[in-house]
Amino acid sequence: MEKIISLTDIWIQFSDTPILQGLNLDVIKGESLVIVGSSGCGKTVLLKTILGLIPITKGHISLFGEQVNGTSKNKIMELRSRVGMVFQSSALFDSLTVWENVGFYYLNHTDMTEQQIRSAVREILAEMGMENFENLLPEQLSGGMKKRISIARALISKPEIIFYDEPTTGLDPIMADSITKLIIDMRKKYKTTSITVTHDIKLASRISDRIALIDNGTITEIGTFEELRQNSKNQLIKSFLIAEEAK
Amino acid sequence: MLKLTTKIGRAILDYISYFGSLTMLTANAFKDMFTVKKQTNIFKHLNNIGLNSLPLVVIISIFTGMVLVMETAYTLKRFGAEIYSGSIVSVSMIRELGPVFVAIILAGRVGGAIAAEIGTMKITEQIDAMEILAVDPVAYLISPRLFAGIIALPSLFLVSFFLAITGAALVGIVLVNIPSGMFFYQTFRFIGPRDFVIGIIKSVVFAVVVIAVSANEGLRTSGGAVGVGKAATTSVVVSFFLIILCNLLLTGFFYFI
Repeated sequence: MEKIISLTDIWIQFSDTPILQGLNLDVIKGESLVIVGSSGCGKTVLLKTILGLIPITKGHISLFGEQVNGTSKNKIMELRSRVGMVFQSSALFDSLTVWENVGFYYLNHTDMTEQQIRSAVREILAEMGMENFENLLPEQLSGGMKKRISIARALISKPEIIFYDEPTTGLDPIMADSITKLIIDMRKKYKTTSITVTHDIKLASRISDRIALIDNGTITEIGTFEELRQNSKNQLIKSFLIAEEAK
Repeated sequence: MLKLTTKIGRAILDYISYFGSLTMLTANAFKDMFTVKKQTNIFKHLNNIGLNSLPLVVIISIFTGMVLVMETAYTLKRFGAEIYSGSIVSVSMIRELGPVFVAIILAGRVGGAIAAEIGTMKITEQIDAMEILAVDPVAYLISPRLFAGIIALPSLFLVSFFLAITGAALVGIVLVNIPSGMFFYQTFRFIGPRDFVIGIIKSVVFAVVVIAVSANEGLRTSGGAVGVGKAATTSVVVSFFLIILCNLLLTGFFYFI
């Protein structure tokens, strides 16, 4: 099994506050890993760290077999061009229209004509159920629509790994369900490795091959949903499962 | 005593770090100005920085020219030397007031907006999204603005100079009764191409200061809406300070060479 991401003894500290403390994690090519944990435990920081957006204090990060920490800006850019990310806030560019947002990668990295880019954008927007929205600005979209556009933007370049940061947070249950279905469909279609950070245990149970729990700055439990459900003695995992069963 | 020393030491380190990041950002923005593959935003920024600042520059320049003639003519009249009031306007506008006024207008009107826009992008993760899409935010957001500023500010300075002379002429000829031929002869008697070059060089330096400071403040933004407001305010304050400081240094430099 090929490791596509490997984190070894990762330490991160903001001012005097330790966030990650000796975290180790391997992600296998093709799998869907879900990371859960309480608020402020460092889940989003972990995603951003893997992509070189947050510097580490100590440790070693490998992405596609290449070292991320301490590498050149050009090398990091090259590695990033092989991944996609869906941000918690969607992070669409305010001043650009939907088609410019979704086609941003192509607009800046290829010599494709506007016509070709628009055509590619239309195709992926249709998969997202967002036809006829291409000329709108992000401010004219709802939260769920923004999330779909954000997923389209992350997927258009056909990345090898996709990172989802809280993809269903802030959405109503129907929209959250629809986004979950979309993530499952996209995974079936593109067979991309995915890492998802979430509080939504329902989403975790539906999309995960493995679930990892972050607690006290490190991974304390990792396994399939069923394994954790049956064997875990961790109070946090239990409370997550109880919350899910209560739903 | 140790606490005080620590505080002073930390403040010095903060300043060094601030100006270090400002210098690095400026250097990277210059480098990317010539290497970025697609610079489709330049016309938009030229319009925003240059054309949209024009009405303010027009009004301020005409009024400044008028005020300068009134003030100087009032004093010079005592010595029967009011015909030189045009010279004072031209010399002060071309080498000092013109570049500084236009830079201050730019810092207030455009600098704060740049800091707020980039700051908002920072706190809403748009800068992170750009980086994940393998696009360098400095090359995409700052280099085109820097390029537009370097073109726009000297152009505005030249417009400002000629409008200040126009305003001065209106007051000097119509109200102070200086013969028009004499007024224009004296206005352009004491200035030459070197003065225009100095004014343009100052404008270019001030453009770099305003764009770099506001972009740097935007990229350093943290802490939500309060942070964005703070970044906009700080960018204007720091720009004003650096414009005045750079003006002093450049004036000294050109005086002694």
